[in-house]
Amino acid sequence: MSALTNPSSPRYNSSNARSSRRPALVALPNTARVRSPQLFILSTLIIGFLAIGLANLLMTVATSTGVYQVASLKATKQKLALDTQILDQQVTSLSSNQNLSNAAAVLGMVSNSTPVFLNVSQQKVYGTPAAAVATNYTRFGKSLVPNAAMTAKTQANALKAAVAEENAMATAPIKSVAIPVKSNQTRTVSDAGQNAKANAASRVTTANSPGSQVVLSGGIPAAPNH
Amino acid sequence: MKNEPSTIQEIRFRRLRGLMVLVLLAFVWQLVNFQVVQSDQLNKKSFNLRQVVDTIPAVRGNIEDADGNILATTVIGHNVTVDQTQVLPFDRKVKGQTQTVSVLQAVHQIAETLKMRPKLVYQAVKGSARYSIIAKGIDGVAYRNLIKLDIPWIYFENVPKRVYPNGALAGNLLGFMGSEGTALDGLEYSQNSCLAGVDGKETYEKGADGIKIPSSTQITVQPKPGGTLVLSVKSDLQYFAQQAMSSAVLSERADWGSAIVVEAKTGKVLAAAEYPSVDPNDPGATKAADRGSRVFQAVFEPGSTLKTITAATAIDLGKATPESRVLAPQTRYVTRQHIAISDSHVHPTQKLTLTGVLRDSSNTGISYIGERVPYSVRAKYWQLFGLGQRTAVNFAGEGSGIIHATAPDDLTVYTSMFGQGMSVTPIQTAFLYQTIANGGVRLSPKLLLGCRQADGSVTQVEKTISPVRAIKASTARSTIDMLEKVVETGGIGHTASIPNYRIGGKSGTAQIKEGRGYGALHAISFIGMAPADNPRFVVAVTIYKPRTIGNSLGATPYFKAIMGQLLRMYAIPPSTTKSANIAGDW
Repeated sequence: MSALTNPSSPRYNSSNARSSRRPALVALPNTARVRSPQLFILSTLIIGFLAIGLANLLMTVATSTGVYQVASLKATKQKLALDTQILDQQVTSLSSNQNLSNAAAVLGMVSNSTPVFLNVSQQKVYGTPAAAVATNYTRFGKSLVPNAAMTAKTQANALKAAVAEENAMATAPIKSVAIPVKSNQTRTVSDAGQNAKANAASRVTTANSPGSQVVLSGGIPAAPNH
Repeated sequence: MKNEPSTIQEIRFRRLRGLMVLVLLAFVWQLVNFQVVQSDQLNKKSFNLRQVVDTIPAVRGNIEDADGNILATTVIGHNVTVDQTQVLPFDRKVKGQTQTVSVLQAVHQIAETLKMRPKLVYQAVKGSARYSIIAKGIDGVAYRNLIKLDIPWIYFENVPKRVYPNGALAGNLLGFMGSEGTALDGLEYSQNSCLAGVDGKETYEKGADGIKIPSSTQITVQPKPGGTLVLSVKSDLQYFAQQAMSSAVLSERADWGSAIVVEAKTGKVLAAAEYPSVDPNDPGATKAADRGSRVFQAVFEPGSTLKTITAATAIDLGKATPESRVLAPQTRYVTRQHIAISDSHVHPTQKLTLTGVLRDSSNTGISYIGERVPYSVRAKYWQLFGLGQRTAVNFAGEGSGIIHATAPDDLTVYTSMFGQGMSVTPIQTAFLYQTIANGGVRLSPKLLLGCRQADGSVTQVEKTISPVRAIKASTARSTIDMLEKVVETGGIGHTASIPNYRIGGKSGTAQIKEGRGYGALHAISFIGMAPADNPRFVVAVTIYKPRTIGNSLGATPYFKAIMGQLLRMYAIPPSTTKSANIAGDW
């Protein structure tokens, strides 16, 4: 620091110094640089504002589209949740004991009170097989156990018709069980009629393949003849 | 530093600055005042004004059977509400055409969709209330159909709804909930602490207009969902047994019937069926008296099924063997007053062994065996067999039955030998025979396997008593041998037999007290076990006051059906051994 300078104000002093130096700094392309900070700041501000404005506009547009999308997706979600709930209810209704037992009764199913067990390793049959007989104690025509939650029911008649159709296809080949059939040979189901489908035939073929064949004699299943 | 203001501007500036400092100080003071001095008081005041605390209801847990089949669950139901001030005719677009729908038309459409009487809907809609409920907890289908009606003045609220997918299956055990979501009966009630869970809490801020301020919601306490209650019941078997008992009670025009299936070696209750049964989805459809569980609650005099216990007691004390001989007359006069006890069937005096006494269910015969043991000793045995006390299940409203430690009169000394003058519950009768089937050791009934929490841990919810040895293992074996002869050779007993299986059991035809004497109707029962060489299952069937049949022939077919189903279900192979060779006559 110079002791000769006016000590009243260093700031004043320095500005004074700058102004006194000024002529020495003339005539260089620096003029652009001198103007440029202002212009730069101004242009940055304008561009910035414009950019912000644009971004704002874009975001508003994006958000509002998003809001509509969210709303529509929410509605879809609600609808799907309701559908799921309804389908759930149908599944539980259809799988309830009441519905299954009613459907079984329509199909004429009876629980057999004389079970028979086959012991494969000992080649023995336990129990005396007998046809399942519908008695008051084994067959209950209709479910007697109420269920207010059961809203969906098996279409029993449609089920019956479907089973009848299945039987029509399957019974004919079974009648000719006595004729030995080689497992790899596709059976021609002549007595079942021309319309019998191939899958029914193949099912019967599998049932007659060696290994699962059981020869019936006197109503009691004998050991498989290997 | 110079304090002298140099210019007028500077003076003004300083004044302004001073003013601003003052204002600032005032603000600071107020700030300190609000934030420190009055903070608590003000916070409380404002919090109450805008902060709202709501409970988040915890989802009630499911009830499952032993195999995980759902017996009770909670789904979303919908309340249908109406703003009565808005109830006006409205326009509806149908296929591009606008139709005006009158209020009455709308009411009828709502009624049709909800399967309600139009009058009830109309009552809910009419008036000037801003909020009125048309229907509570409607299901998804009805809800969807109602939305399709597009009625501008009805609104919906989601509410939890308890659903029992299998209806009345085990309904009397499950109990039911009230319309306000409170547990009212059965396991729903007694196991509420397992099922209910703990409600959560959420707070949010509310604007002056009472509207929730978005994104102000804070969950302060997470709701804890209820646990899953697991029963030992097998629902397929339970269903079969319920079908059987429904059929029995309806065809025999009885008051009620019950069938209990117990796993002999564990005490697990695999089925506890009864009729009339309650559908917890709609408890109102069942008479109030039929909504409980008679399996645990009904008390009745057991009758001849108790002869087995009299015989076992005598054998256990060495006072009799299965082949002890008695002369059984048609009628025997007992007590100082010479009161007659008689057999139900007419017969000349018979030479019977104890086995023969059980086979023919002779009252006079058992009286000669029973009197070898003093009444008070027999009463102690009843206690060991679990009579006169509630089971450890402690079912809501469970009965204990009555046994007298000392004989109330001379006649009861004798009648108690064949199960009169005392009372039992159906579950107790099943465990009399469980004790015998389990080598003389009585277990506590296990109806609940536990309460399973969300993390998979299972807690015991049922008290268990330690096993009680009532009789020696050898006594139990002898008793089973005699019970087998009842089923093999008994007039009624053989109707309970299942070909190829060793079955042991005993019938009962008990008189029912009415006023001072006994009425004309009976409580018939059959309790048995299989396979008798190593019993796994006990089935106890009771039918109360059948009107088309007067003896236990009305119970045996159902015992047989249920036992047969059980043997099939568990694939129990037919017996390969024969029953013990004991003579019934001499």
